[in-house]
Amino acid sequence: MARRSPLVALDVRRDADRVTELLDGYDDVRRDGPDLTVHRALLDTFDWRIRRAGGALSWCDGTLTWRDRATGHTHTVAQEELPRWPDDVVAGPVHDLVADACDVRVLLPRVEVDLTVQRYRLLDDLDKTVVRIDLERGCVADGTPVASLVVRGVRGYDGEHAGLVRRLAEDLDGQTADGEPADIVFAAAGLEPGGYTGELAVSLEPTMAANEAIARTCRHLLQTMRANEDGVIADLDTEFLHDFRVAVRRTRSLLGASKRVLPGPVRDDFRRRFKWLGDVTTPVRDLDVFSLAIPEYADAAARGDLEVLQPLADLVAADQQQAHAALTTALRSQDYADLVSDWSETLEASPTDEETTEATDPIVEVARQRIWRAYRGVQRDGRAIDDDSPSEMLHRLRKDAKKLRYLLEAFGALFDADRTKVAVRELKRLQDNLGAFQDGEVQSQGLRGFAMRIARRPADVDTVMALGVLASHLEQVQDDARAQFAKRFARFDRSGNRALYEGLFSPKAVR
Amino acid sequence: MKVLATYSIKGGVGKTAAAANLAWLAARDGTPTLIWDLDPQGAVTFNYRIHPRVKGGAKGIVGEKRPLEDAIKGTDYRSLDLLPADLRYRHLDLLLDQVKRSTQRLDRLLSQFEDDYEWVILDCAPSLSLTSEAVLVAADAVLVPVVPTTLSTRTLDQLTAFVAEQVCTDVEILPFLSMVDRRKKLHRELQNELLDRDPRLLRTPIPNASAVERMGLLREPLVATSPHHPAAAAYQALWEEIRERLHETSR
Repeated sequence: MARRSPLVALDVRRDADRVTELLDGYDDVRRDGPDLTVHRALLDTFDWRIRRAGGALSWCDGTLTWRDRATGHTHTVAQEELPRWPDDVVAGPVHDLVADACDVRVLLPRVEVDLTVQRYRLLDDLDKTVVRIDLERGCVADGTPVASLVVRGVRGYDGEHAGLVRRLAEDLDGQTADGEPADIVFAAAGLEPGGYTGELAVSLEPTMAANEAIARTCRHLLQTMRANEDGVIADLDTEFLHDFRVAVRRTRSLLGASKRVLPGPVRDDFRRRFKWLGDVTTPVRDLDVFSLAIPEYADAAARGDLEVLQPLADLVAADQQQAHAALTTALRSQDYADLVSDWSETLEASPTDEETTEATDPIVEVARQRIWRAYRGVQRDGRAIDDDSPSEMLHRLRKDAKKLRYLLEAFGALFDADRTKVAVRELKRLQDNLGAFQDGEVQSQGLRGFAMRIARRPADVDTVMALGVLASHLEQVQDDARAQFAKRFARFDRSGNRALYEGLFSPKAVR
Repeated sequence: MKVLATYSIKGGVGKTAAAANLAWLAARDGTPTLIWDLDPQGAVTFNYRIHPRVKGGAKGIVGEKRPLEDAIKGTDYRSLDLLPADLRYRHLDLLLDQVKRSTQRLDRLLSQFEDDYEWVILDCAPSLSLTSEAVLVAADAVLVPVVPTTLSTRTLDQLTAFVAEQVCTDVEILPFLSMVDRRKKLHRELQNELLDRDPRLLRTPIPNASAVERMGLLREPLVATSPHHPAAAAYQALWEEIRERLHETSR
């Protein structure tokens, strides 16, 4: 159900008792029934997708509410238990909003709080309720008190609502209305809403010393890994591991690009150790990709009938469990703990030796050289591929492109932002093609393995046939990608795009 | 969204009391409900303590110059909103007469609330007019209070004929007995006769009670202030019956 009425909240942690006194003293405000005790959970994904979609999602004693933060409109649905997955939400507008925002991510109760609610009403000359006022008091998990005054408009009485908010703000010594009740609770719980994002968001100055800029970026990536560790170990959803792996790969790319910025032995040591870390995460991720693709497989090979592919889903799940146990062991190992602490120390110390001749050069210059070099690598390897080239050459190009992409993402902001965006977009088109080729190959090989195991047991004939259809579908995906490669690469290597990269990153671009 | 209209050709038959109480019952469990007071007398609006005023009046609404949703007021009950009456609704017939497809106009106006409300209840002025026609076109069912008197039962027949001959919609006519005084022999006799004669008639009669009249004093629906009163219990039973009847039809 959609409700359109304004709502603001005031943080009254410091003077909650005064608020009670104040409201009891207003002639036109009445108590509205006895106090209530409620349990409220504020829900969002780990990377705040609900918030980024402009919503605030809360569950309170059997009702789930989505509030549009900008318009104040709310949708509610009766929901007996806290939903864990977007599809656990009862069908309707709330479900659709949550599903669109969260995609494959799990809903986490970011804060849970028990509240006592004192209810009041502002009445007009006909003794009609024109504003509802709730004083909500409680404590978050660590005992920090939270108190908010939630002033909720009644539809059609916006003027009265605004008037009361002004009056309260004045009487509470200029207390400003925050507007979002959830934020008051987040603040009390010490959470920074929207604080985590999987994006690489590090602000760098072009004149910064290269070693300092790279260390700052790597520190951010290390934080991303650490932030996702618990979620990976608890296996909450697939995106914890995805973000963890991306941070590892970005770190490896930066290490690769840090020649003459970091001492050789240091680079070699961490490149080896981060490669190990990347490798231990690969089996789980490959299985995650499989598991996420099963509905799509069912569409391609079994007319959407998931039941037919259940034996495959079961095998994937069993392997996932095993692979996840191995990954957990790795993340709890001394090797991992040492890697984190050694890397952290190294990033603080910024070590140099006689070979680190570019350590203190401006990052913009070092980044330009590295991006140019990576771009030339993509160009060279791509041009060498013709219709008969072996697939290894495409895989190598995929890796080259990935390196270039990471460098553009890490340092693109140091250059012309708009033109860099275009450069990334062009690269992404090429990467999509290479990715489809690679996925087709990895998945059809993986599928073959699963199919052999399924065929060894008494299996349903529909399942075996569907696997056959699926295998040829995946091969087709790969063949299509291969067939389109030449066109895609030609587009990437066309003169306009070359000029774009040259203008931004070639040695001639130096001003 | 289901649209119900409380409607009677004749006034003073408990139509508004039914609209006010049934709307509250519809919204009681959190079901989003809108009641639109189309009667220029504005008795429902008065009962819900809302000023009878709509910016732009009937002209603004019929001409669609002002968004109808801006006129909606929240009542004291969380899931129940009200579109207030306005004295200028008395010109609604004239205004509808000036627009194209006038009998479709209310239906079109209401369609914007499809996602917002599960129930819309229209309380209409007693008459047989262009407005009545528009209401009958917009409604899924029309609730007709029938006081067990000879005249009332005759107006029910008139309405049935009007719908069949003039309006030509598949609106369901749901008559119910209103202001029934079991002490009166005529009421008892006519009630039984009607129940036998008209299968459309809802089984629950609403008793004639001074508590219903007192609603105007308290300005709150009886079902909210005195849920255990026999008349409140009757509205409750009537509401259940309406829901069941509509459920059967929709199957």
